[in-house]
Amino acid sequence: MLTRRDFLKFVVGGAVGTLFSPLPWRMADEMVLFSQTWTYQPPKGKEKWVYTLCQLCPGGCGLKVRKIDDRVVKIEGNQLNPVNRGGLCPLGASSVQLLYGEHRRVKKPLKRVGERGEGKWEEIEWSTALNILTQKLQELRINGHGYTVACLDGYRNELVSGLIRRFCQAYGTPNYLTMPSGDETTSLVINALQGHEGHVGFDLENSDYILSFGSGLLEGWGAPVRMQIAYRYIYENPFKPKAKIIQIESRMSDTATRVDEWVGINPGTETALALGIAHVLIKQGIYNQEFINNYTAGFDSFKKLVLEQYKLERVSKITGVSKEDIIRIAKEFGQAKRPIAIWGRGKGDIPCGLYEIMAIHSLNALIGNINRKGGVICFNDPSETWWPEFGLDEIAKKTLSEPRIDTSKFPLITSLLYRFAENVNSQAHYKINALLIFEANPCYAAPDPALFIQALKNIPFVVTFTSFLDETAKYADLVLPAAFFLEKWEGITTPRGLQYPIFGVSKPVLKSPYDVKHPADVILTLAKNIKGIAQAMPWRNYKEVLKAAVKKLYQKGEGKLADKEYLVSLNLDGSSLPGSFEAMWEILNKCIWFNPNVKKEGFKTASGKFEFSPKELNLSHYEEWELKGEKEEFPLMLIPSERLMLTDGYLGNAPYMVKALPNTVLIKNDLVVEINPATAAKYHLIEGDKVLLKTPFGEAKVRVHISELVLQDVIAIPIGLGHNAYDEYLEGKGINAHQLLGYAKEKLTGIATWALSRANLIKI
Amino acid sequence: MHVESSHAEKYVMVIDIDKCTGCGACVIACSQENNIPVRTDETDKYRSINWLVIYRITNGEPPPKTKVAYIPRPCMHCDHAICVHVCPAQATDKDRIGVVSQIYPRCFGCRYCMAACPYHARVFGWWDPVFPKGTERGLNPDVSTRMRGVVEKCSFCHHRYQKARDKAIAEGRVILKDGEYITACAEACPTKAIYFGNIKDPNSKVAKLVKSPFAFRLLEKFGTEPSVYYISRQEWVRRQADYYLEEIHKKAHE
Amino acid sequence: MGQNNEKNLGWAPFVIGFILAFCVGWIFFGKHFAVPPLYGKLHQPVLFSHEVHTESAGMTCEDCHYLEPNGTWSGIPRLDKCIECHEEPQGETKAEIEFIKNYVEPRKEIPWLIYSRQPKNVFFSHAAHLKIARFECKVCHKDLGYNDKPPVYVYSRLSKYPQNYVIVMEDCMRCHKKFDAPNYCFTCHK
Repeated sequence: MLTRRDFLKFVVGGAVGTLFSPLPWRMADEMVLFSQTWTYQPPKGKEKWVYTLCQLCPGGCGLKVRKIDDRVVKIEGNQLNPVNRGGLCPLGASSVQLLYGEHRRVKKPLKRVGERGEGKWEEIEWSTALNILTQKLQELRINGHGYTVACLDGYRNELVSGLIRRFCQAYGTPNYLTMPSGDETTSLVINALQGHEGHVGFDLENSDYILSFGSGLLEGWGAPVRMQIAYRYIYENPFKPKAKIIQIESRMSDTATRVDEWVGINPGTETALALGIAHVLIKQGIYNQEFINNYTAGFDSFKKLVLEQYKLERVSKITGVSKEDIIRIAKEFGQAKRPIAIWGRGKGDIPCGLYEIMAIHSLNALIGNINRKGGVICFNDPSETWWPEFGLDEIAKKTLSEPRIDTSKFPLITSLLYRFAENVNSQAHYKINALLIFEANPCYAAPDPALFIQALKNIPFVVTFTSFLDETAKYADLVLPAAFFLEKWEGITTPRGLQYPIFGVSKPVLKSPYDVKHPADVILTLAKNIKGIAQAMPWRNYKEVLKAAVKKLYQKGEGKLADKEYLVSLNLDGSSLPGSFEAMWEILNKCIWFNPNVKKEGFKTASGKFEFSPKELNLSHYEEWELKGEKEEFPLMLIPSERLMLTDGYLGNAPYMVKALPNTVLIKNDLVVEINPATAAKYHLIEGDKVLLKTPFGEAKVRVHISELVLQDVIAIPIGLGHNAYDEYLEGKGINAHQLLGYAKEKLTGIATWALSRANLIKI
Repeated sequence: MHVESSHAEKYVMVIDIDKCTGCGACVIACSQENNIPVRTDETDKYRSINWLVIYRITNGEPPPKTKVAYIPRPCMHCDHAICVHVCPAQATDKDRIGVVSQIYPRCFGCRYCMAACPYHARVFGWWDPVFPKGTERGLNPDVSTRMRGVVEKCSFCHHRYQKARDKAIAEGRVILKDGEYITACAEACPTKAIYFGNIKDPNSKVAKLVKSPFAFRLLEKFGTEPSVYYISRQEWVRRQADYYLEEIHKKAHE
Repeated sequence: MGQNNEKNLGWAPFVIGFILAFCVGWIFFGKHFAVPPLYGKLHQPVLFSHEVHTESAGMTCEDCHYLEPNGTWSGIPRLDKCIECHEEPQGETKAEIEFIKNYVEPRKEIPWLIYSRQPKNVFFSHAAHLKIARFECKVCHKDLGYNDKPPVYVYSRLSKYPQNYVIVMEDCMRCHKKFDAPNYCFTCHK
């Protein structure tokens, strides 16, 4: 009989026997190997490097993309690019997550089922989608209603914008809109004051005194990486910087803490300060008399206005800057060798007032730095002027004469998105029958997005070309997947604020894993299928358009190719153009064309001089922004704050970027706003408290961070969070600052900005 | 057998705090290069996996005199690495080129090294790595992904050293040129505030930079001999880093 | 006190258990006993013959296995290399006809079973071993380059790793110690 003891002896014998056999070591070995394969290990493959250009902001950075087999694994900066010189910004570095994020990419054309805003779609084929679109556009055109089609262009420095404009003209609609930014107003001002539509660049690297009216030099203004390199160049020796930078804004941004001086002004009063500085310059005679006498007109009326109406008493009261500071800064500015005044709040996407830009640019005229080293450089961008002529058919000629839907009382201003929404809502003008949105997200980023969403109710057919399932896709009838920048051909034109023209060809790095098309190719297809506009688009596909543009560029014969390794020492060497167009096209696949010695565009006004007081506009003057809401109910001011780690608008923050946000921006899902300690004391708030932030446009729960870097009674809110679309890494985090900021209007011109708004805090 | 030794290499990093603008491109580049996982809620920074962390310091003055500096802090790869001394599994080791390695299959997650590291450079993987769906295609095959329960830290992108060395060997040499092997953070930095190179190469940039009187290391008095030097011409930054050791520094570099 | 009428088995259960475990351990888990079920055996998807290619076709080793200029090892050649010659059958074997039918025509990559497969966290540098250590291939790969039929691929069913023609960490470390090569962790791991 087997007893329990025997059984135990057997088991113990087995255990000891096991120890004398290789079993334990083998099992340990196997477990180790098993644990090493616990997590997903990416497969190895052949490595390849491809060059391309980034299109995530108007910065024009060159990229080096590392591919393993046909997978993109890393984005790095291309050293063969004089704009970014091998550097990157956080948004560019996280492009891989934007490219491959399956929960946010649009994979196939979608048709809406259910109500607008529900976010329910059914997948359809491209042929079906294109049929629907073509039919609708054809129908509207034939019935003479072509002008009721509006196009919203979300691109900034890409060649496809020109194609969309061309399509609108050939189709016959005057309603070509752009997402609001400082760029349109800048073009208008330059056109009025200097008489041309050329590109405006700022030669900051060679300046020795920079007066920055709220420009976030390190937060992404202009071309972000170029500004970082310029910053390093200027502060190479922090004891002896090459330029003195004065940062004028209501909140001491990172830029302000790192430059020479911060001037805190009341929100929205930049115009007054600029005219105050002009007052000191003129009164004390420290302006460039030679430039004023020889190259400007209308100075006398400007002088009279500034000396009479902008005395320092008044300016100091409006802006909150002391008289001594204004005099000192004006003197330094006027006596510097190569001073420059720049504008464009934050990243440059927040619109400025027309008279604001006029006032600041007048400072540039006063010290005579236009088209001089270290100053404002104006030139014609060849990538904008190469488009060949085309004829309009009868239908187009007729419908183009209709007025724009977003007209303001001010004849020169175009593309006012909030006005578009207002007019469509009120139905005072004609009805808009179709809206085509190209890689923009107005349902999130328009001034007062709720107003825009309401306007969409009156537009029966909304189509959006987008790479991501953003807020606008939720409200569209047809969502057409646009290729991400790594998946398509594109021509990159001069970045914002760069002082010389560039042109780059960004080629597709990989074949898209999804069923996408380049919106430009869709436009070319539409042109073929809609009667009457084929003559405007004689190209078979977008690559042909690019080749034609490069050919024109090559034939001009100017400029050089940027094929040297660029360092932070700002050299601008390059090679001359090659012997044949084919060779140029080949080389452009790796580096860009640029022209640092571009011919500067002189003054082309009727008088041939810089006009201080152009006929179409009045003299620059300060007027308070038209703000919604009453001061009694909303005693505080709300201003936006920007940073490189937060991107606004059409591109949602990549997961890595949301991860990198500090606890002074986001805590769990709560957005954090900054307030001054005095304001906190007034409202009995301590660090981290939850409050209800109320503005005339909406209200939301936020938390507070107490910081001395914000002016008293001003609240700074980060822009870029608060999405209710994209994927689980971004959805529901924070609140949409655009909704709370709404818009403020410039009285005379009707230009809307979200730079400031009235607000109130209620402790909860 | 003829085998060449490369003890002529010791890699250090020099970070110029005056040039760092705190943009964060280095953090994103590191995350993308090293297959760092990301969760939907990363606001709890004690649980967040970050190999390169950027600290923000101010000079304590009220505006307008406020000054802000950003200090990127990778693993210090100390010469007297405390973490190497305490690891019970010998999962971490000091390499001959100066890099402190971390071998994930060997680590069993006791976190003794995390307690030992005075720079808090080590992070623990509390959960299995999750990558946003679809982005597994973008993972770097040169870096292993880590399972939950092991400690990870910055490796000075050592996989790039292996690849650079292979390339050099294929070309018939063993010595790497200055700039052939650099970390992902140094490569991405737009202001080139991060320098990385061989301190034993007299012609490299880092060899010249560490001799600067403005160069200092964090927690110098602990005697860990870190391989990451910082440079700042601003005195308040040096004081916050406890850099009162100018005399000792001068003596050491005479 | 153990006196009773039952037969006292004494040491017997212990000894039986010991011998049983001992045998099971050595037979099923010993390295040199390739007995199922722990070890599985597979054949290569294509019966590739090195002998035919080097002698009859006159190819050299470097035609398919070479060091790329950036230092990486080409490894086992991809289908493109085979297609260079094998669009049409070059010989008369059944293996080749099957190969052309199953892989060349549909342009499918051959899923080779790699004998020397290392775990994913191991970095092996062919460049260092060929150029600095000046090893010959057969030091690690034994006679794989001279065979007429590829040997059977024996693998462990638990961890799925190959068992023959493979080098494990102890072999690497032993050799590194002998030849004064660095034995630091990061030399081979990543």
